[in-house]
Amino acid sequence: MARNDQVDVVVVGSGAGGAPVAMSLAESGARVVVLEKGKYYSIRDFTHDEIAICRRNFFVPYLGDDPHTIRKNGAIDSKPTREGWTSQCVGGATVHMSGFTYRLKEQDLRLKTLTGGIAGADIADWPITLEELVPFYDLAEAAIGVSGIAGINPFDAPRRPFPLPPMRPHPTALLVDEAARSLGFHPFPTPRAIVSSAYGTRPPCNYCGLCGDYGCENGSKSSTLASLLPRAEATGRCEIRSECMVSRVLVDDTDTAIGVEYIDRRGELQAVYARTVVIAASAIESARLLLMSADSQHRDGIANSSGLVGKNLTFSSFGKGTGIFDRQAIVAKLGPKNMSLPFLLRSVQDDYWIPDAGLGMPKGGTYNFLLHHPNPINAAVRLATDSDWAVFGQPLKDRMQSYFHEEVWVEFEVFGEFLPWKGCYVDLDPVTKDRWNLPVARINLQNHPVEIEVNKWLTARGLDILNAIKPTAKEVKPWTWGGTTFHLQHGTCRFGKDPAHSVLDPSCQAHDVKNLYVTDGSFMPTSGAVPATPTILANSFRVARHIRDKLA
Amino acid sequence: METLELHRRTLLKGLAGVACVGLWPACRLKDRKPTSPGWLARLPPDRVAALGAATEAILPGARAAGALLFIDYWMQQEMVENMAHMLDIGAIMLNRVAQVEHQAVFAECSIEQQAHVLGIFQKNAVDETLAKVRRGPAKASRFDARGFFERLVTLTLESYLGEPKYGGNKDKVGWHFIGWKHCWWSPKHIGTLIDADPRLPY
Repeated sequence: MARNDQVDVVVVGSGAGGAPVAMSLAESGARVVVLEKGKYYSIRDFTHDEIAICRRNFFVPYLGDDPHTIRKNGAIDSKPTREGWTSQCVGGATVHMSGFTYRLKEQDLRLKTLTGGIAGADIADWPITLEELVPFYDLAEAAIGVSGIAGINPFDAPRRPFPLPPMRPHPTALLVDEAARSLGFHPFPTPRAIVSSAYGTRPPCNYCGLCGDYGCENGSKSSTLASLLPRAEATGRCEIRSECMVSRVLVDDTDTAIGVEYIDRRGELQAVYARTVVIAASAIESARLLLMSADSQHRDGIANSSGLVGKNLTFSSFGKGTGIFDRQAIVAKLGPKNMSLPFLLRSVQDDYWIPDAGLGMPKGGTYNFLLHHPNPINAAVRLATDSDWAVFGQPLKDRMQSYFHEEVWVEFEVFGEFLPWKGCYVDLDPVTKDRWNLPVARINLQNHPVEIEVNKWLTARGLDILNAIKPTAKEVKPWTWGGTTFHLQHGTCRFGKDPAHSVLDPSCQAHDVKNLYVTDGSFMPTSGAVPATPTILANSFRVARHIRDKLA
Repeated sequence: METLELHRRTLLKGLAGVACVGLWPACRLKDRKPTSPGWLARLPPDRVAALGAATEAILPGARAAGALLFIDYWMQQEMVENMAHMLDIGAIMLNRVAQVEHQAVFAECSIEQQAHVLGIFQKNAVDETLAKVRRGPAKASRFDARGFFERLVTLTLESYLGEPKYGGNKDKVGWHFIGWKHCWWSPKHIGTLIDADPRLPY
């Protein structure tokens, strides 16, 4: 194959891990090609069609088309699943994210040192400090647009002001504040990667409420599609090739990455050669790509002399509780003003570090309070499932009547530490192939028992806050605990200083393969107890600085 | 969009005339590929009637809102072949269970009887029910009664509350029912509601 497609940098993936590298390097003068598996949607493609966008294959492929497989709790046989996909489009997961924008804390990066280790878990300290990340958090927040208030969360490290003032909350936030404070908690406005006022050419949020699972038709959600990629393309040096499935990383005899092979939208095999290869396809898919790139010299995949590619897969430990409140009682207390606003926007991090809780680890998590997602079908199905599908007929219609007209659902989600250990990893499925006849990623999922214990404890504490809200809820109930948030994924190519115990060096370059970088959540040796998107963005800017200096 | 809406109304009016005899032509909307012949048109009328009655028993008003048109549309899409097979078998089983329990096909049972039959599916107890009339030892079938029930409930709710362009939510009856809460259809109007709230400093 002729090397007529030669650039400085090829980036696989256009989400939080790929876009900052692409933009930074293109703006510094490098010629960049971004290969994205998904379609190149524009904001005109983003409708509020719940069925098409959330319940079919607009973002996530059908099982028969492009599945993952999964083995849960040590099962022998794997089953096809749609879990583990993030949105398949230019902009990646940032397009359909909710945009909760918390930073990591010192404990997240020093978990092994601070705990002395956790039985059965393979935690590791990060090879960089939080201080090293902070300037890049600042850079990322400014580049994409984040709304919030600095200095109001007593558990946050000192930080710069947010680029934008906070979003406007639903009045029920007052009740959550009151309840949380009555129990000694310190609620604070949830930072969001949504622009609360005009930001550059982007208009302020119109408060439609359909952020999570949707693309923003207003351009106000700070996806890389809306924020970074237009800047990259504006340089004239960054080309985004959509619907291109990368199938192999090309490595020469000196173990130097020289490009990638990919299958274009016509189904033809192509190659692009580059001085630097950056993989940012998501923690699951990046590991899959490295494993798929095995050859006679690298039988276990490239960059895998440690045997750790795909290992230590972590997600976010998930819990959720619901409080069902009488709408009239809330209106009677707060008045009708702004009751149509969709965001509750309150978080609590008092239980982020809990050495006195008597649990298997001192690491807790974050409570994110929110109103139930406004999707009507999702809500109606939830009413059915909450009864184990036993409510149907007129009782179901009556229940829908109550939900939509007489109730306010206040919920919280727990973001907890998901422990890396031998029970959770990704490898290549030996049987199942995707539509390009490539082996699919097989997710092997088993939650560490300590992580479940802590999540259950956190969920109970969240329920305490719901129970303290006045007026009293008609019902407060846990929805789940010890679960898994699949679209928050990390760890499969952890970084570290020791090549025997890590895949990437501290600059996220592969120990084994020169000029090969991985910049999605794969690099994270521990998950942290918040959604990782801001951290992935910040780290990608950090790595871009390193590559820029090297290319220069 | 307006053209599409008018086209759809015309189509639904036309379909209303043939629905009563169980003939369900393809839901041809201007912006999608031709899908004829319709999936439901290939099923015997008693199965179509069973599915229609089941959607109504799951959510009163769903059948008139176009639940069958909605199902017909989606069963013709590429990635739902297994689902279509499940619905086909499910319709047969609805009638069989109804015959065993109430000596009538599902569509001819009373509302209470239909709820009773659907309850058997919800409890995944179809095999036990059919064993009452089967000679010899009971044997487990490969039919996933619970899975069928969950799928049918989900499709019914989708049809009632989803975009009307898929054949359901006729005249936006589902959105009227829930009171046009939230703003998934038109976010532009919400912007005017947002005023500073002095009780909420942040």
